[in-house]
Amino acid sequence: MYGRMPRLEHSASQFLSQLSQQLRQENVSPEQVGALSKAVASLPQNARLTSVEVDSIAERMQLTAPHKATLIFALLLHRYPELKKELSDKNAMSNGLAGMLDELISKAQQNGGDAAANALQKFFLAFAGSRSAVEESGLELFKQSPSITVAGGTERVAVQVNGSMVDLLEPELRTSLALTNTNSRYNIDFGSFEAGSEGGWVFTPFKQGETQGAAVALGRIGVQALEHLSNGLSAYIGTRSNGQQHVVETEAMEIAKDIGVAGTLLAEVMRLKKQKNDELGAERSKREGELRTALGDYRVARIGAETVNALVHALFPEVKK
Amino acid sequence: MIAPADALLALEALIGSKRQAFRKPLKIAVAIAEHGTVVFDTKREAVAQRGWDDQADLSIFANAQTMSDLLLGELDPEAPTEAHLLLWSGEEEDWRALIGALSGGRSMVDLRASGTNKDVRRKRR
Repeated sequence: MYGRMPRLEHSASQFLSQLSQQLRQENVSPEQVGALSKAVASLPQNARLTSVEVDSIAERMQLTAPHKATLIFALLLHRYPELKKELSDKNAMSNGLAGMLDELISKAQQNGGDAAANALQKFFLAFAGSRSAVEESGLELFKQSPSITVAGGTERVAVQVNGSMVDLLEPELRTSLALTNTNSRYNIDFGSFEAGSEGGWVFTPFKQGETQGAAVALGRIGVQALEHLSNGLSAYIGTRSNGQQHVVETEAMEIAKDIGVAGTLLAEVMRLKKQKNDELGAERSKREGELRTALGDYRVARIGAETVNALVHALFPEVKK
Repeated sequence: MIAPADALLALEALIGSKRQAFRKPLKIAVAIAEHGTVVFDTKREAVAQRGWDDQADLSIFANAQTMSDLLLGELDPEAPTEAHLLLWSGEEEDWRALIGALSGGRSMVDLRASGTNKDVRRKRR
């Protein structure tokens, strides 16, 4: 059984509230930096805010660049407490980076990039040339309507999607179930599922007004499916929710039915997306190792822009030129 | 080690907060081999944007370990370890602009060059 998962959404919301109270002036004062760091410190230690979420926070709060930079530094400092010395003073950090870049230029003045470029040819010929494009998301997998059958038992709730059994209550789905239709007509934040400490499933409805960062645009899910999802879960939440946590055991199957097609697709999309990202990360790490081997002694070198571009496009085929 | 996504966030914060120090707008493309690509554009309001730009003024291709060490000042360019990987391209003038902005003053290269010139002048005398 899975352990209880941290509720980043709730903590982030709390954090935003504190942050908005503390950031009132145009300039970031040392006091504000301290206050901001304190607000960030209220986040769970293992909470993660991605660049997308930081952007979202900055946009919603209309943070100026210095505020946003301070927010990022505070987050980094919170995430890497062992790096306090390096990160607590952003000037020290930038000075350190500047000094390092300076040294790299000095090195470049001594060594041309020809040797490195030649070494890269081996990599391109051996690996990158045969690399095929990797699609970014799992959404394209649902160009055709999947065949879905809901099945389940007391310990597992799963659905059959195109012949494969998929656990409906995936970790991602437990953490957040938020759907946003592309036409913005449906912006549905329901709640989260997670394994209860004493078995069963705990469903916690999101409080009104809280915005979930994990909203997923599922353009290919039909309006009817969204309505079904909305009606089903709204009815469920309406009858069961008073803002408290509910242990859901045998009801899991009922929830699965209520979630229906849209929830199933969301779970499958997220699962495939994660699987693809994991595979992609492993593949990129492998190629990075091969690249270092190919480069030998020229692992740190200045080379031509065309070679860097070719390298990037070989390793990241999804990136536009 | 600073995770790649966090390293890019740190770079965004560093470049964003020093944007006023860039006399010339710079477009800096950064790729972390195991992670992804981001373009930092000092003249854009949102400094960082995912993707790549073949026409960037500076292009940096590194692995996660190198980027982390670079930010923490733990990379010795003269003695990189086997774990390091850093390839880059761009005009020296643009690199100096980046260094100048990040350090808030003259770069060591400039100082050394200036010192060398003084030495040359002294010798000529």
